[in-house]
Amino acid sequence: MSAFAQQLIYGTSYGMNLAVAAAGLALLFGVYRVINLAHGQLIMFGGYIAYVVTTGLGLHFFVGFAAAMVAMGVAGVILEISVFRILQRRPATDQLLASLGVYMMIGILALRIWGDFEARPINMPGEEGAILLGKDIRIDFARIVTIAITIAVFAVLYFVVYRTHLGRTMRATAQGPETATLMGIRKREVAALVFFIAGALGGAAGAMLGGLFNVRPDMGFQPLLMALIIIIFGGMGSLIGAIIAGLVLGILYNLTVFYVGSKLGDLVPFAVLLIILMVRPQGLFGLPGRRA
Amino acid sequence: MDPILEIRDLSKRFGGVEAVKAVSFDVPRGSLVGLIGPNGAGKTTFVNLVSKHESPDTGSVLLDKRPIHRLPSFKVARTGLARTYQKNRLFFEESVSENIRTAMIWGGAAKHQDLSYPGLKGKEEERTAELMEFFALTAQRDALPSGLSHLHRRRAEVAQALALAPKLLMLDEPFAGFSREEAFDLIDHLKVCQKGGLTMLLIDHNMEVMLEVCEYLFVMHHGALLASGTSAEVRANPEVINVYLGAET
Amino acid sequence: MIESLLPTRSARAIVGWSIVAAILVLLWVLVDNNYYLRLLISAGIAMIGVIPFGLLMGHMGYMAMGQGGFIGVGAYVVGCLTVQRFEIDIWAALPIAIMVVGALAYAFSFALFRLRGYHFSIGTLALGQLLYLAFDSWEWATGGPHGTSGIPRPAIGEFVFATNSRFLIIVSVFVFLAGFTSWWLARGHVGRALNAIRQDEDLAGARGLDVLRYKQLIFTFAAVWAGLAGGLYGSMQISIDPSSFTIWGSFQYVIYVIIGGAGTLLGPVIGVIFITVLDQLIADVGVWNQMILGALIVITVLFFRGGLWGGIRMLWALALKNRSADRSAVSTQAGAAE
Repeated sequence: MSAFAQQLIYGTSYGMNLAVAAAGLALLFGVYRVINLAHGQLIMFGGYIAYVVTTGLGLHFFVGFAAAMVAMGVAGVILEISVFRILQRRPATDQLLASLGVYMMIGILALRIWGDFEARPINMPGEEGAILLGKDIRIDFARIVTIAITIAVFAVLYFVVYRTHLGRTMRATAQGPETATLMGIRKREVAALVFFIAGALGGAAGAMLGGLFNVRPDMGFQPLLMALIIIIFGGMGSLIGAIIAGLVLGILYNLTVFYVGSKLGDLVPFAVLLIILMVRPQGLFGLPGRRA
Repeated sequence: MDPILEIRDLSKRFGGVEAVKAVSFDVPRGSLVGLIGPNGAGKTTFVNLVSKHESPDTGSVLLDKRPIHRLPSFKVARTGLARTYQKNRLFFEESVSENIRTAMIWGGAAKHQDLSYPGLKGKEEERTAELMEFFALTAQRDALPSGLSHLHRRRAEVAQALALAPKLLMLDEPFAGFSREEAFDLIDHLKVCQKGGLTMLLIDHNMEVMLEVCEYLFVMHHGALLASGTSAEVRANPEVINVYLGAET
Repeated sequence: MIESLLPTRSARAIVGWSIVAAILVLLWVLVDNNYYLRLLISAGIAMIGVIPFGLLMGHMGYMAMGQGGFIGVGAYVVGCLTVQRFEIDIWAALPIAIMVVGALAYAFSFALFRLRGYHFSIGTLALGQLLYLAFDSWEWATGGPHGTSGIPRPAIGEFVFATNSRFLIIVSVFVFLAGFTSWWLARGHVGRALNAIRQDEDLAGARGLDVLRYKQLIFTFAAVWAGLAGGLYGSMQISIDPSSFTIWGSFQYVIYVIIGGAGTLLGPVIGVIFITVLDQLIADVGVWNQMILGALIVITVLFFRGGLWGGIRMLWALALKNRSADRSAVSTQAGAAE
């Protein structure tokens, strides 16, 4: 029983990290119908930035975390200006392809800068400490920190999307460009901000995943795949769907790895995806009938 | 009355919204009937349900006594129910004549001997030529849809739908963007087809033209059937007046 | 010019295909350097999978991102049947592999074609990854992470296609067949259906086309050829392991098509040739070559949607226009002189 609770906690923390990664993708899709595969490399690069700032410069994890968010937010804006702005009104495949090209470019950039596939640790606050619940449920501080950060990130995101003018314009843009134009929205600035937030979410996910599992040049792929599955599972473009789907997937993954084995654990996301595609292609919170 | 299309209890929900609520009515063979209603009344969803672009949650649709609500859309089309779209749709990389021919190939040979509107008899080339001539598109035969005027595009779309040799044609907002003259130009063509035995269901929110043209009208509001009758009856119906005045002010 | 010499489409096609065959034979005769032979074989195997895949991605507009999985299934079925678990002749193993891949693709197509656009691409991406995980974990059939080794080269009687030069013959034959079957499908009513599906599949359905059947047909067709490419790849490499069948293999197919030119039969071929040559040219820069490739993809998608083949055709059309302009200028001058 305590082992189950332990895995539940691990799964929750992993799932929350994935939800942050997926929220960036979901936001872009929700507002602009864009799928950005390069998001995976933003996650990876965010991890490296956090690594450089904390382990390299010896600063506090939160500084590294913030640096990762800002840097990847800026990277998101650069992507918007240089690639996605040109691809408006193009078929879905074009955006997938272009972002795949970017994915390759950024991946190699990291490999060149840091040289190899060595895993690098990020200094987390309270690295060695842990809280013991009951006899043998152990929650290390690092996990508590990431869970707390995730909750904070989602609180801010919720506030931005549902309580600010920017959020209103974002949701108006999601309704359709016509509505947005009617509301007198300055499209370019909104686009830049949305891509900034999405990139920053990727950077945040990278810093946290890097903190828990070390930083590697190929660390972006798994979260990207998971995030893609999560946004389909949760309903493309739905933030709440992304959070819930992320948690479900993270917990399921950890439980399967623990009770059945790591190879089957890797299969879990795909099994979930296939079931979702068969039963409810629009996902948990997507509207039926509106197919992408 | 001999109904060609029988709709029974057709419903569709999107999330929490009931787009179409238990709609039932019959379309008499050879008639020109209209389905009207303000924007957002569920008209287009209704058309999509009948043509099986979307699957109804409940209800049945019979075309010539044959249930079609379980068939995929291509079989609905081959059974003899063709439709056009609110937003003009043609294969944008193909010329007008290719667009018409394509539907002819997929729809199969014309099989309804009792019908006699343009484009039913003869070989593919003859049928295509006849349809283009009927809609005065012969000069545009090699033009791409993007190079056509709005009027010609709409005509080409109707011609493509007729190339399926349907028994019933549903036109979704055929008069959108048309002047009164252009609308009646299209109606004249449709009336020729009606004389040839084609049944037509027009869907539009343009009350003026619809009341003038259609022999019988159904009025939809908030997904449900609100009223039906001849244009005089519909015009006099207080509920219809209420809906339209309410929607347009 | 070409039109006047060869008036009918089929005449042009026969000439075109003869030229392709001649090039393949010439390559076989001329190239005797083992390194280049291996490159040719690799490029040929890529073409076997990519040309039919071009129908799916280019003509039909469904960008599948999981072909690497089908390549792997083809390779592993051959590996399993010839060495890992059984000792069947590779000539028997290849058809079985094709059937297995075909059945698998057809079965999955029911689920996958409930999806469109992004959903379809991500669904196939996941399928590819799922198959990769299967290669990695089903040790009985695949040998797990260590893979399968000792896959034989095919033989006819005593004549074993053991050397690269001989193996190239087999690969060339299959390149030819892959190209020919794809061309045959693309030119007839299937091609019309695929183009219509790309343009507006709802409309195609409303005009009487059994859209799902054509989608399943082409998806299975592309998968079968990818499976055959995988079987030949296994035979070429002799030993295989899961690292050859990652998502990267799937991406490569997509890249060949987009760089070469989507929606044409020659595009994917040109894509394979171009990237093979490019790889040789930029091999010196080490891992940076991925960066160059990535940049090329971005630039192509952003500015040259037709890819290389589209570019070539555009230049060709421009040249023709200039020529005819010159000629009409000349004839007006002649007219004026009279």
